[in-house]
Amino acid sequence: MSSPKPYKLDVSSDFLSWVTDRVNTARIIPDITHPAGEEWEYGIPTAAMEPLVEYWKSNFDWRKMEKQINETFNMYTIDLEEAGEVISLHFVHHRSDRPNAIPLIFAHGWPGNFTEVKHLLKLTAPEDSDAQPFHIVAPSIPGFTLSSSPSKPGFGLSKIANVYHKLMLKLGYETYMGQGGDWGSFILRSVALQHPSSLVGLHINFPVTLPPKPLANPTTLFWLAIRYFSPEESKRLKRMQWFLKNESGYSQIQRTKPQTISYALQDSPIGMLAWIREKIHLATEEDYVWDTDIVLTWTMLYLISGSAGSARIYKEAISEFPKRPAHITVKPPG
Amino acid sequence: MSNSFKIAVSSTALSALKSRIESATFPDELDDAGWAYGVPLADMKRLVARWRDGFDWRQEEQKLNNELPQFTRDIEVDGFGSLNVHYVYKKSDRGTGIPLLFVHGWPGSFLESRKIIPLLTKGSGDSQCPVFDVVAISLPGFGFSEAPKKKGFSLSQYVEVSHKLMIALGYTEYVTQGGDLGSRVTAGIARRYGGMHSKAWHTNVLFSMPPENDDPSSYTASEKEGLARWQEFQRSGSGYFQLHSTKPQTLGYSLADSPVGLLAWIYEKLVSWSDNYPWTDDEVLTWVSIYWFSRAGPAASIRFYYEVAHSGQALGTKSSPPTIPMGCSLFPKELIRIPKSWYPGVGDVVFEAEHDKGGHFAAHEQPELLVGDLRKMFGKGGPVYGVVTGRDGYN
Repeated sequence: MSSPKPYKLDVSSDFLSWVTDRVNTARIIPDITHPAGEEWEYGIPTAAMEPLVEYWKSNFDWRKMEKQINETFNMYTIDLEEAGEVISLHFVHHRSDRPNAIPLIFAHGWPGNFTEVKHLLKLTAPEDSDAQPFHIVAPSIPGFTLSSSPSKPGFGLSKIANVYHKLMLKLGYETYMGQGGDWGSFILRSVALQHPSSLVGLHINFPVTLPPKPLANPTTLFWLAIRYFSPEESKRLKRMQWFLKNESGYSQIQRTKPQTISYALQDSPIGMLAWIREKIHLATEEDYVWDTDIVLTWTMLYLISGSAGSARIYKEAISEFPKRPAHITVKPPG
Repeated sequence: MSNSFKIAVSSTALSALKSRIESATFPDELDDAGWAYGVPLADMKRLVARWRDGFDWRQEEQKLNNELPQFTRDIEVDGFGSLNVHYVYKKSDRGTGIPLLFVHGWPGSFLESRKIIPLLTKGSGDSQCPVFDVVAISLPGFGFSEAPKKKGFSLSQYVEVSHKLMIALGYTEYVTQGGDLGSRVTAGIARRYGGMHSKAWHTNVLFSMPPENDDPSSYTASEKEGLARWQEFQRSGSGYFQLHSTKPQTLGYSLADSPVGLLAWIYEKLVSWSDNYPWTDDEVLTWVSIYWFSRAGPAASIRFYYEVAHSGQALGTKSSPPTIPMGCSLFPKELIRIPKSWYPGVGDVVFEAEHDKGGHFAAHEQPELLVGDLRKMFGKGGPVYGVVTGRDGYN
């Protein structure tokens, strides 16, 4: 049985020179002229890419980022077996020294990563001594960034969920709570379905489901049929429709031809940057300003993996989606 | 005024490409993935190895320049100023050739005319066989044509620039052949310039919406199979279309920065859309090189999809069909095959031929079959013989 090995991020100098060389010789495509306010209509505009690439060439210090990551996060890897595969799972683990701390697994999605857990690390020692403390665990999805990829087809969400559950058990956490967005929310829902007595609390910021069934929820369906929505619901539906129509090309290609798109993304640092930067632009509030060091660090993490796994998850997961979601009962703690 | 054109990629561009290929990095692959996730790693490695050592672009360039007489000329497009357009132009070897505009698609190019031009211009040695003057345009943003600099250059504009090229060459009347995006452009030409200028059009891709009162139970087995293939294409093969139609710029950065990425993006379609065509590695690399070395870069061409999707001219939008005579050649591995009952929505079909081999790249995969159909359609005894005044394809 394996146990967690401490991990420090330290990419090879060969890899770093390759990235540097490719960034320095990057071919940035020209753009057409855009009316004011419509610059992002065709994707991330050249006007946004150029400063990012310039910064990457002249100011971005990866070794400094590496040092910061190593100093901020206690990281480990552990070999976990699932469905005949051995995954080398990378994860962050911060223990609280308070006696009543609850284990919390933070599950990232795409194009995110474990560093998003940074803002939760302080929960190990809240200033208010009455506030609930947590042990924080944040794995990297198999095939993403610093975790190894499965080697056979079919490693979908339920298997990833089992890997996460095994991780928690290995760390001595038989019951725990979870927080997740994007793929993280789906993975944790699968954990809740498969291990309901372990995942005792779940907070997700990406709830996805299907419309209500006519027999089970006649009233809800009635409101839906006559299109009676509250202003907030209306706003959310419009956003969902806009997203599906205009913003989900990346999902469509990743869930059908993940290998094909990965040749382009893994061989082009600026291609990967554009792919990621565009999506985080639109997934946040309009006035959110992304720090360039963070954007480039995220891009590097995906390049470091060298795997098409982050695209393949779309194909593996979509084929696993049930026709109707199961009803999840989560047992409250205490 | 036209200028003679020879493809002449700079040695700087060639060596920049070479160093990128030499430092190519590949993703991992699942065991026994085959084609289920996209292009197999083994195919990519083999192609890239050939690209690095063995593929001789200068030789291919020279062959192309020898085979295909090329030109450029400036053409004004309303609202977009003047665009420098690249095209192949070869007159018939004898007699008065029927002026034929050939319009390529994606991921094709003017290269798709390479095999049919000799057959169309020379004829078959049989005096009954008509000959053609062939013009193969590089659509703006493709090949060695300039790309538009502002948004909104959509079907109407591609139609306009193609028509104006024929007029500039002195052909007030002409006929057209097109597949893939070329089918949409030539349909547009038939609609807007049909009758006075475009006299008849031929395509190997038919698309229209079903008529009202359509009866699916009347479909033949091959019609059902064709529709099923279209559904499967939409389910698992149309991701590129979605991406092109929504975020061409985002995708463009990696296609223009990674020759390996561009190769995979194009090669996947060359294989999956053709009918077991035995692509040689050099053939594939030549097709991809046209995109890599294109005047506007590989990202410009995919904006075509975005513009069409956002201009109210998306596939499936209702519009009245052209009224000029139309011919079609049906190849079994084309991406879509519509039932005959839908034909009125496409046009006035006066010629139809069905084949038992061939796919989406008809002019490249089955040049003899395609040209044979054009000869039958336009030649003596054919349904549109003599449709172009004074240029019937004979002496």
